[in-house]
Amino acid sequence: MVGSARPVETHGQVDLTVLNVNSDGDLMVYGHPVKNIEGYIVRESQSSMLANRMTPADLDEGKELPTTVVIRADRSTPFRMINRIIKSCQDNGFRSFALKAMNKEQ
Amino acid sequence: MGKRRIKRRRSQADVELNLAAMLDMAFQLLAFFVLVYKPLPVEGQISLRMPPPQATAVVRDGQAPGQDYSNTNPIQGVNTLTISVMADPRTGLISGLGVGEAQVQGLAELDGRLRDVFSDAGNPFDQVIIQVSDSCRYEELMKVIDVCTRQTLPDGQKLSKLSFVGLPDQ
Repeated sequence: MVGSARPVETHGQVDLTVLNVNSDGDLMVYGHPVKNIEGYIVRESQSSMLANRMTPADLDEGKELPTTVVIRADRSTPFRMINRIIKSCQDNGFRSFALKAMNKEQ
Repeated sequence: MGKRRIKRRRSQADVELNLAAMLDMAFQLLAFFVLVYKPLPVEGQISLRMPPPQATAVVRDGQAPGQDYSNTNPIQGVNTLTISVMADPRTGLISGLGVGEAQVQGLAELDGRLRDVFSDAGNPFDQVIIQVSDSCRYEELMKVIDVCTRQTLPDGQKLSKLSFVGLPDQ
């Protein structure tokens, strides 16, 4: 979606945050790596909260963001890179994930 | 007089479209795109609910180990099923799998072991943690997750609640 040549198969879901990860573990947005991955995820979390009329206090109470994080990573990406992104998403209230693997040319 | 002659010549030489050649070209283009069309494979998607991993055993604050005399069940408090995925640091390919303390040989055996565990209605596990070597390739991890999400819980629902923990490479 963001910066990817191939559109995401949404399977009917609308509220998605799509994270494209290359083989080096870089988060790619419009073809460019995002240097501050955690900052990017925080902004995505904030926009999801705004869209769903939630506040950080709601997350502290244990509520979850309804947004599904779609992680589209290269098949050869090491787990530590993926785990860093997953952890950051979890720290910012995301609980619903969809994992996809793709080849380099996609 | 001269002007009238020129007008007559122009009206006689009407432009005609050669439709046969255009149709020929259109069909050739169509045939070309039909022959070279190669659809991309459908992206596999695994949907998961991933809460952050929690402590692997229930321990109350201020309680010393072995001091809970009311607990006569040795596995009471153990609520986490741990699946270990070891990978070769050079290639990132899976080099070993384990369920709890036991090792399993390959994904087929992992599937069978998990099926045994989750078919037991009295199984105590309420969370599944996958410990993964840091160097494990995403593609390899997806194979393990695929096996996990194929499992059916005693209540009939598919297993979709997983957590990940990274294991430093040795």
